Amino acid sequence: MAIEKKFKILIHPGLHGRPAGEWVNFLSQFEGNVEVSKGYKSVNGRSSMALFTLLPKQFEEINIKLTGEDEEQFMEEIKIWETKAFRNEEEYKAGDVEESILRVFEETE
Amino acid sequence: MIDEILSPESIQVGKSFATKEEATIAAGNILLENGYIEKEYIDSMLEKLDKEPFVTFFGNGIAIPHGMLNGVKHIKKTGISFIQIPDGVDWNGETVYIVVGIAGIGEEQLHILRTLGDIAVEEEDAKRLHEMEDVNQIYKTLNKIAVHFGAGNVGRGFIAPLLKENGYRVIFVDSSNDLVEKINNQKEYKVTSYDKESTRDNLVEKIRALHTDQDQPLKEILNKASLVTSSVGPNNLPLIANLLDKHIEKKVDFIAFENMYRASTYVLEQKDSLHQKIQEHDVVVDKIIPLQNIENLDLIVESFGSIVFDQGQYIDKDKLIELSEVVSKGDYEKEFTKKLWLLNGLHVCLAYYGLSKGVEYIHELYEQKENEEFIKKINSEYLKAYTLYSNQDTEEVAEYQNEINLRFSSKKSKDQTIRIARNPEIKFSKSERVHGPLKYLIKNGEEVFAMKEVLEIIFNNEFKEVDGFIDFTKEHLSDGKENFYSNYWKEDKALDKFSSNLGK
Repeated sequence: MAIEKKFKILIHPGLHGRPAGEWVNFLSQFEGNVEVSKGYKSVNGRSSMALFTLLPKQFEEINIKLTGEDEEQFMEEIKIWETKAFRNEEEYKAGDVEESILRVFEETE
Repeated sequence: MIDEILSPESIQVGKSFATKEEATIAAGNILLENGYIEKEYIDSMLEKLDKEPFVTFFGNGIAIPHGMLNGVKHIKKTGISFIQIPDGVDWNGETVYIVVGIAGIGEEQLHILRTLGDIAVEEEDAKRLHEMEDVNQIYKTLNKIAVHFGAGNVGRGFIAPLLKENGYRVIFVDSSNDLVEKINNQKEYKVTSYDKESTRDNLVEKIRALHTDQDQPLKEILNKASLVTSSVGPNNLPLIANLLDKHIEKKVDFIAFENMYRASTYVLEQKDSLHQKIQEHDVVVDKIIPLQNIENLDLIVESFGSIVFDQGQYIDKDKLIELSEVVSKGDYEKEFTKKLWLLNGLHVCLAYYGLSKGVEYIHELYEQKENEEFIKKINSEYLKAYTLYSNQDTEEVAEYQNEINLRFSSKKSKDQTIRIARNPEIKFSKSERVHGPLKYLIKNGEEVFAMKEVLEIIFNNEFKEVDGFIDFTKEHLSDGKENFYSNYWKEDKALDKFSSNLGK
């Protein structure tokens, strides 16, 4: 079975190095297929390299599609998934502000 | 002259290291020597390696050592270094052949990761990079500079945003001092696309421009570019051919985004020596950009856009421009004719019909009941002609045509009939958008009411406000229809058929 949802990326400046790495780790709890797309382009969500090619910037919308078992349950996990990140450019540029644990995605529909 | 994230000096090939720490320090030192970072950033890179090693492995034999988030303050400007290690070095149990040191600020780092991802996501491509020995080639692969000739409406409103989406840094080249100056002062502009329901803004940032006369910088940038493109209008292409021939030293991919049959090949054929300098890619471009009455660089364009590559020339792994909703590949001959007849042909016929009725904007034609019959007839004549030519399913073509009418009738388009009617000496010439389909219809004994009406209109009016119309009348229409058919369209053999269908 498959389920898909659209999300806005909340963290600054987007899904870059570490959050993308954490995302791939986080996905190891789910056994099925993960497809992430932005606009017309769709990639394997388990590869951070492939994710980067989407240029997933903050406040942009991506589509996540899960295929496998317990996909609905895991989609709920995605909705509340948190990782260490910055909220905005000011925090990011301040340099001495610690990163917070932030929710990464917001469901858009 | 442009903010380079990578310079040839930051690329090293054929190195060897015993540990990932040594390789990271080397990558950091290159960044330091080339002025991208302060030396503290290297400590931050090592800290990252120690605390979050998994983030520094990129995949497919590539590592991306970079600093901790609090190391960002030691970055002077965004940059990368590139070290190739043919024997490999151990990286958390994986073997790495390429180390890319990254000093990226904010969104810049996303762009770097995206470029690396594009190059390395396919194992085969990554391997090619492991073995690439030519520093200049590595430089071009990673820097992705596109030089675009023509900073006019199509260049700014359609091509530059497309190139940016494909990860290119865009440098415009134009012959207008005013435009070059504006671009270099503003460095960004806004493209607003409209469809029936809504509009959407897209900011095109970090752009620069050169003047066509700036020989030295132009030479330099053309030889750094991995793609050269144009949208200058068919008449100016010989000029572009001269510039490319004069400046380019090593072969580069070239795409002419022009409303002209195989425009890229046309440029190539201007000079024998260009065969060693450009690799041509022919495309069919479709996007309506009305005349703009805005003083600054911002543009309003329709949201529809289409670029069709010749499937015989499009090589997927080149990744010049990726296939998408907008970009596709197909049978060039058919695609070109389809667009030239069904869009451009219909457009120009509607424009002259509209001019004869005193209509300013093309969408207004669709709002007045008395034009319904003409619109219906001209559509069905073009539809008939194209299906006769292509043998394509009528319904499919009708759907394409329907879409075009929707685009023309959009209230937001504000597209002037005098714009669409301009340069009649090209538009009405032999085998072009009017004569091409007309010939098919007459040859096959089909009726041509609406096209006949368009001919009546151009023979019986003086459209002084239309660019090129007075010269066109003087040179080709003043001797009457029969001379027009035989001299301009070279239809002497079919003269009787043309005369009986279209009038003497």
